Amino acid sequence: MRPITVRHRETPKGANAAKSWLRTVAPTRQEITAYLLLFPLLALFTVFLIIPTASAFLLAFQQWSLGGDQPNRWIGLANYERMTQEWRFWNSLTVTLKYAFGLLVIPYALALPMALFMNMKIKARAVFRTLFFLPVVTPVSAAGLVFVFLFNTDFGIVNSGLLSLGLIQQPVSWLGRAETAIGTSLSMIVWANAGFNAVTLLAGLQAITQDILEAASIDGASGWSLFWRITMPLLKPASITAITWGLVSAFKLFGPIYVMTQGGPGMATEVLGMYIYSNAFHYWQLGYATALSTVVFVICLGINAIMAKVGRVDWR
Amino acid sequence: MHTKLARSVWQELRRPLAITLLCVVSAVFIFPFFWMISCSLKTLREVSVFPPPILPAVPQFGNYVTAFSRAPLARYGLNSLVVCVSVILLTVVLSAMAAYALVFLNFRGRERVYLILLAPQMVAAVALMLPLFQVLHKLKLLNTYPALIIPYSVLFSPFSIMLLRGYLETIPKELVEAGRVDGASELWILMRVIFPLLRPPLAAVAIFLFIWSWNEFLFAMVFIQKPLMRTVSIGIALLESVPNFPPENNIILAAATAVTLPVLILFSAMQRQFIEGMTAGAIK
Repeated sequence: MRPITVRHRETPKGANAAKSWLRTVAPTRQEITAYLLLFPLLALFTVFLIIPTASAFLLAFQQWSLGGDQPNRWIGLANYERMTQEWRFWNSLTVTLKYAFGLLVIPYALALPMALFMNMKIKARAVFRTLFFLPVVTPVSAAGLVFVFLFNTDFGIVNSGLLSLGLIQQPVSWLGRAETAIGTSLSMIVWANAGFNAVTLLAGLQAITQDILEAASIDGASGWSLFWRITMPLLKPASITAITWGLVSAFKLFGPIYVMTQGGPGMATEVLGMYIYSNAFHYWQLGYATALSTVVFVICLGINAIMAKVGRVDWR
Repeated sequence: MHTKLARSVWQELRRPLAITLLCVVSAVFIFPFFWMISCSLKTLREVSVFPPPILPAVPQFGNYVTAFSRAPLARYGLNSLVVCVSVILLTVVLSAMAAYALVFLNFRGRERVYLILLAPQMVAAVALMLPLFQVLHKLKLLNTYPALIIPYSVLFSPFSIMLLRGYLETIPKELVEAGRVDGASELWILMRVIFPLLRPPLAAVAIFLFIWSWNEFLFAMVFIQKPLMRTVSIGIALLESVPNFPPENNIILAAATAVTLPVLILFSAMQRQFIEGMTAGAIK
């Protein structure tokens, strides 16, 4: 008898081929549900975030008005050229960098001891935590108004206190003089945000468990060296977050500046955000302001990207 | 160099010293609040004199009544309340759905979608303001509540999603599997099984959303121009621009206090959930 040979077809042909390909491409029941669940949020994102961002990069090359009474005119790179030539743009960039420097260093320097304090085992710990965080939850405008009055030249308590302590001879116009305006407004911003940075660092601190600290002290580390060699490196991710925040927030600044100085005196505190607002709503230069917006977009993206890379570098 | 005595003295003193420093720092931190409340209760003369008195001679509670008559603060408060509550509802529903899908469902592009959903964190509100203004204008949404509700929801949802996702990942998948075996739809599982478990992170999220929406300044100023639709945070800033001499700082600060007190009280009552929610989000 002849042996029975069975020829086994591995690859399906014809209609079966199409069906099995479809099975791999078609969405599963879970996938359909997932897309349905995600759809509303993604739809909102598209309309109110992605489309505006994209259109900003288009509008930056046009001259446009809000009512749409005149058709938009395409003017190419004119807005960007103007940017490079306007003194006020470079000024706003410099001012923003000044705030960035202040916001990089000071909140972190304050938040670190604050976080260490908040980590201490005291019974009233929750009270202090709440106290430190209160400025964070205060409305920007309210905080701005209080600080404006605190530093009021004629009636403010800062001048009054400093005069009575003999530290100054005459009332200082804190927000009215170019030299002091940045520092004064910076003090409000730092006050309003130090608690937030402290809580970020606190999260990192609390991850440094007792075991690690005990192991380190058995190895002979104590006090300062314990702090620098163990605690600080373990705090790196939280520190990077805090410092990135400071850098980016300078470019996002608007509320505090608007409420306290409106960019003055004489552009001394005009950060990029304030400059954009000014061009858009005081001078109605919407195309130019949009071009400025794209610059801020790119800068913030860049900072985030760089800091993400930095976060991955092994400092050891 | 350090004698044994000096070192042990230092060890003993360290804690009380630290605590004293803590109290001093806290006092400096709280001073602006104290000053705000104190000045809000002073007479016009007491805020227009140098040196200013620390406390008012007689607390002028009537300043608050005056503040409410100078600007429609009650109406502003209502606007803010509507916006805040709507933002909470919208964001919670949408981000719960998204977080559930991200954690319990397997689908192509899951990681990519998560990254997209986190994108708003990298966007500067000032940069988004103008093009978003145009979009809202085209949709005829300017000067309406949705003009603030929707952008706030978009801006704050990454935070909500991160917190919810982090929490959902600690829930055993067997729970969801059991529901599926019983033939329930994913939506049913989300609503009946998962959602009731989300109370802790949702509390933190709701508090955040309320406070952020209440305090937000830029969009509230730019997207709402109609006087009666304004929110409370803009309302008090507008007070400052009323030309008055001498400036009625006591009334202005009374308005500021009235506007700040709700969030201060809300926060103080819920601060444990707030900070726990924050640290959980930061770690994850």
